[in-house]
Amino acid sequence: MEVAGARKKKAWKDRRKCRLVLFLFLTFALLFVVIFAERFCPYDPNLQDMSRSLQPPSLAHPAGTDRFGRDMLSRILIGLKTSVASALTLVVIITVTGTAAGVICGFCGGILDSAVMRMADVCLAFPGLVIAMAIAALLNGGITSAVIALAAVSWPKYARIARSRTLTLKSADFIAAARLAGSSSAQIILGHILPNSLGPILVTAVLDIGAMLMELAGLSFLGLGAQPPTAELGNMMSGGRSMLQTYPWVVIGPGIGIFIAVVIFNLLGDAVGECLDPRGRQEKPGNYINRKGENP
Amino acid sequence: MRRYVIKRLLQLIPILLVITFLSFAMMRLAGSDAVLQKMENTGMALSAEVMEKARMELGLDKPFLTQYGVWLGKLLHGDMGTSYISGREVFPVFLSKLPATLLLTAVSIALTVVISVPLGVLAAVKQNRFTDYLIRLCGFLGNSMPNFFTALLFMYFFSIRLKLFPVIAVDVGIKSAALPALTLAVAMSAKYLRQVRIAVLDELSKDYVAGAQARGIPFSVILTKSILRASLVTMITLLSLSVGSLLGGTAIVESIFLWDGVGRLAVDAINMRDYPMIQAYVMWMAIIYVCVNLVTDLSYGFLDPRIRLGDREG
Repeated sequence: MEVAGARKKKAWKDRRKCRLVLFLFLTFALLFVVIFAERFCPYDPNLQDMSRSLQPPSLAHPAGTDRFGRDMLSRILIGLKTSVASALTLVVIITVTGTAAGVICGFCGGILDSAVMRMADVCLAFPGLVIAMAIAALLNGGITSAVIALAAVSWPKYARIARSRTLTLKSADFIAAARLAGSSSAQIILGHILPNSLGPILVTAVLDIGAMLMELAGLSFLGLGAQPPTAELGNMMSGGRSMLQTYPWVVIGPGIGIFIAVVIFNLLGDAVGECLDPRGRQEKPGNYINRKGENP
Repeated sequence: MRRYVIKRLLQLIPILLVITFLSFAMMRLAGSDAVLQKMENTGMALSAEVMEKARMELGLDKPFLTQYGVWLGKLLHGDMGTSYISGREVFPVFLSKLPATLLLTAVSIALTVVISVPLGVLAAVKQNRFTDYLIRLCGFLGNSMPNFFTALLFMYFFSIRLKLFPVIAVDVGIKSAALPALTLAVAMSAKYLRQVRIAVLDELSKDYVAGAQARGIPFSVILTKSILRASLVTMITLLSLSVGSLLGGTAIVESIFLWDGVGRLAVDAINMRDYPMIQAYVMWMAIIYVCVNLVTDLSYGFLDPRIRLGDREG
């Protein structure tokens, strides 16, 4: 019985690992395409050719052409590059600032802690996207301002996770031992607390990439992100909106582009979550009691 | 209980002050004021002295906090300034568009509940079977669709191809509201479905369920009488938390379907940098969100008698 149980458990774990590897591979493939987007473009994405404007998808132009006769596939690839690059930048920014704020606040405590955490509470009390829209409007558009706006409303989540992990770890025996051994605060934070709190933060960050990609594209769609000369999936769709009735590929192509990218990042996020996050075990009712024992 | 309600209502005051203060500060940070804006609109080049005098008349030369006080006083009388673009008063315009947005929000929340609760419960009951995988797959795909893409697809298939619904909202009614509300509901249901499933699974694994089954109580009775009731609090909490993203989502969806609500008003205002209007929108959305969360917190005591709200402070 026990052997079979162990084998089953191992198989379960192996399956999870296989999925993680598969989705990591998919993500790297996407990143490869995105990084070398210019090489993959069949045409110059900015080359206008009015004689070929608004052609439906064909062998020569797999995704059709837009109003100015530009190849849609090339534009989608370049647009994907802008979208993915800005989403990744955004996630890196909020992860680093949020974690730094959370760890420092949790470790130092006192006035700094209360001040920063009250700020985080205020940020969480507002509907995020609404505030992001307002901030992006204040900063006068551009993809950078969209990134800043979303960063301003998204960091508190990370700060909270990092802070609660730090608070738990701070009272652990091995931290006391490290302190006795003469480690400085910086050494303890960088060497012990940070590596031990990275798991849940990483899971949140990977899961956030897809969501951020969508929100950035949403802001661009509203005209608050990348501005028209730049190819970005959100503003491409916004630009093609009026042609939906007669030339639907101008809108649907970029939409599918965002969808595929988000699906890949979300698959990766779920797989990473299953492997790293203890809450993933919630899925199996049999483990419920064990789980409770693990996290008192 | 009554004490707790009063305490929570009192806690609302500082939050509202922060919201109004931030909205006010936002306007100032925009680096533009009514005088400058008026000058740009009329296209007149005024001398610095005339502008200074106009600023003095409007009280714009006073310290920041005094200005905030004056502004807050006006706000309490329903005066939120005039729009830079149309010159009309902001508050009445905003108020006239609010019911349309509230209708849209209510319909999409209702749709979300109708779609995701049965599916979530079904997925949990049939855990790790085909039905579960299928429902989870749909949830996953729905979660990966940007709402503006969903909106445009719905518009293309249902309005343009099948001609079932009007392409753009012609009036504020159920038929016009169907597609925008469905768009919002798709994204929300996808998220909510997962959470309902986890909440029900959590409840299913508890000992009392096995106990009830051992006593021969039919599973359908356990499900409706115990499990659903027990997971109600979690479900309501999660639903109220998603109202925030719903409020943001209405802006995009309203402007696509030309639904005449505050979201579209805000998007137009943002595109024309009409700061008083943006300010009104942000402030009221934040207030609505805070109030929804408050009502949710207060409803716990009624939904789950195990939670004694008043006792928390000891």
